[in-house]
Amino acid sequence: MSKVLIFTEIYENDFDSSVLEMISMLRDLNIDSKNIIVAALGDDLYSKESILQNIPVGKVVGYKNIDTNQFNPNILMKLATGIIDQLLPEKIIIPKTSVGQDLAPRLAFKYKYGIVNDCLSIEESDNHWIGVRPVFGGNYLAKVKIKSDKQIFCIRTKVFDEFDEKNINPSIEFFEYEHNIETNSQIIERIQEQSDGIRLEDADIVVAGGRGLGGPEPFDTLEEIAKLLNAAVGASRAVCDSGWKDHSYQIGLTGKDISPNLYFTVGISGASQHMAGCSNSKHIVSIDKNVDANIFKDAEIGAVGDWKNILPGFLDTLQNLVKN
Amino acid sequence: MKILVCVKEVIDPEVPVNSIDIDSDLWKFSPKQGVSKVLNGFDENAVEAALNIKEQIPATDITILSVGKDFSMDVIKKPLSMGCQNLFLVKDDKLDQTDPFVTSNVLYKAIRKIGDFDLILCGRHASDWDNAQVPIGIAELLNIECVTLAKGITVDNNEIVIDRIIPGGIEKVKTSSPILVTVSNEYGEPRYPNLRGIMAAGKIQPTIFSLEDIDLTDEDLISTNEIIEIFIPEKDSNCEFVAGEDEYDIGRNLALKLRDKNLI
Ligand SMILES: Cc1cc2nc3c(=O)[nH]c(=O)nc-3n(C[C@H](O)[C@H](O)[C@H](O)COP(=O)(O)OP(=O)(O)OC[C@H]3O[C@@H](n4cnc5c(N)ncnc54)[C@H](O)[C@@H]3O)c2cc1C
Repeated sequence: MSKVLIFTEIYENDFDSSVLEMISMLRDLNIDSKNIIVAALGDDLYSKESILQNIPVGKVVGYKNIDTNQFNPNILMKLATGIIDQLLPEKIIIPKTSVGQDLAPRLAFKYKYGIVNDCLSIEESDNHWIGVRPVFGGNYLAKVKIKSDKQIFCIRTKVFDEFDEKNINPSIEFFEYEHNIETNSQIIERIQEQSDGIRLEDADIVVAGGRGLGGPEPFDTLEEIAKLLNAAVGASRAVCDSGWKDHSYQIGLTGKDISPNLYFTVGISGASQHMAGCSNSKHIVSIDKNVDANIFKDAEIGAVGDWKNILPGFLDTLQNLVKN
Repeated sequence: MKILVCVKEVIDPEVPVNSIDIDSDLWKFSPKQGVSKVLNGFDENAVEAALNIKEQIPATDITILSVGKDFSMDVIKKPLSMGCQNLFLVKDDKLDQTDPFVTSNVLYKAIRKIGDFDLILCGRHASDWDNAQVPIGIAELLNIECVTLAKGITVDNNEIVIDRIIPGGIEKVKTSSPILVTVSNEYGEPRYPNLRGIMAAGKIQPTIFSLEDIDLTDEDLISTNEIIEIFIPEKDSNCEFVAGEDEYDIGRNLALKLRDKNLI
């Protein structure tokens, strides 16, 4: 059985938890975690051995004293290339994080690996791995087989539960980087979005509005509801592209990926590209005037009608409920 | 400055799935009669970025490149009517597939034929196959660096600064030519062509390459992946609709229901 390599990011105090999801996914394919090698990407890994020790696989490899210039993709590419040169893995798994989705195709082209991007899962058939991935914004699912033996699968995060066996510890091997790590592109500054409330990605409840709201003003009501529910506010792309809300509010394929307990939408039709970012919500509850809107295919509770009339009844009742 | 923008025609991503036919032998998508093709939205953002640079540096020349089996001229000429100067097309019946490796090879060889560029812009991905691979493939083949997901691009002499979207914010990336950059919708709405632009575009003849013209070999056309199946995911919708005497009452009952179910 050939070994499988997973790439993962190592931060200041922890590894990216998506690696645990990848291990779960591989377990479903009967790959024992002891047969997995994790390639760690991060700054100054030599000082982070205690973090690497906690990754429950057979082996962890990484470069010793590197400054990745804040995960500069062009530098990560060089490091990943070095690791592949050492290990020559056949199968590579890359979680579709911001770093991973950039790295996966780069490696594929560099090494002529076949790649299936954005997989929701991998199925096995006749000893072949087949990536299952959404196309056309999620309107369709495609099953894709890579013809060569050298394969990269980039896997969506938050689809698999985290692997939670704690009593597996890896052997750790550090490499020395011997080539020139300099790149033409340098990250000179990081600017974090200002947000006063709860982060969309962390919220237990998300209240979101769409084009059906007709303008920026009704978002005040959504903010009010969110405040009462201790929720974060989000929006569809139509809203952000119209400038009613900043793009940091956008949920979906090209926006944020959320997984709240309750996702509450108003005037969002439920286009597949939107649902791509919220289908991991536990419960979806929607208000829309169109009973045939797509959103009601995913929603568990629906209210059909004009939000201008429904929301006041909702808000008044909510205020009473909260008071008591 | 010499800028190249790679663009693609796609089936309008806003049309419902039943307006699209799937060929289940070759796994190709085609629009039903009357369903339009459009320029990939993110490619329009890339065109807009190029045009903004041209406004700042008037001596900029913008070339559009696309590959495919056939093109609808009104779609593929849109960047010209928005204000771009040149159009190159690689057209061949063999280009009827969408393997990212093949597309990247074709674009790469076409670029080598057309000439050197300071900046190559692409949309962050195409809205049909959502692969997000081709731009990176071109950069890798050209052996230049690539910065993905631009929300802003500023050019100052030899220095290019890109506002790149990262989770929770942006990072400023300082780079220099030659560089490939992919542009996201956060860049801002693309402009509408005006009448003068449409007239000017009418006069521009595209340069059309065959595969031989760009020295493409059969090996360049071998796809790496095989599609086994494409299907529409099934959803067992069982939405419970809240009733009420009027819409205000529906709102009220909705709140009560959520409390009932312990969701709030
Ligand atoms: C490549 C690509 C990527 C994309 N990425 C994303 C993404 O990340 N996120 C995203 O959201 N979209 C994305 N989209 C866009 C997506 O396809 C839809 O266009 C978008 O989600 C629609 O937003 P909406 O639901 O707010 O608007 P609409 O689809 O216009 O829906 C508005 C809804 O409001 C309802 N409505 C109108 N008036 C009222 C009223 N008075 N009371 C109650 N209901 C009312 C209507 O019935 C309708 O259902 C992407 C598209 C493409 C092509």
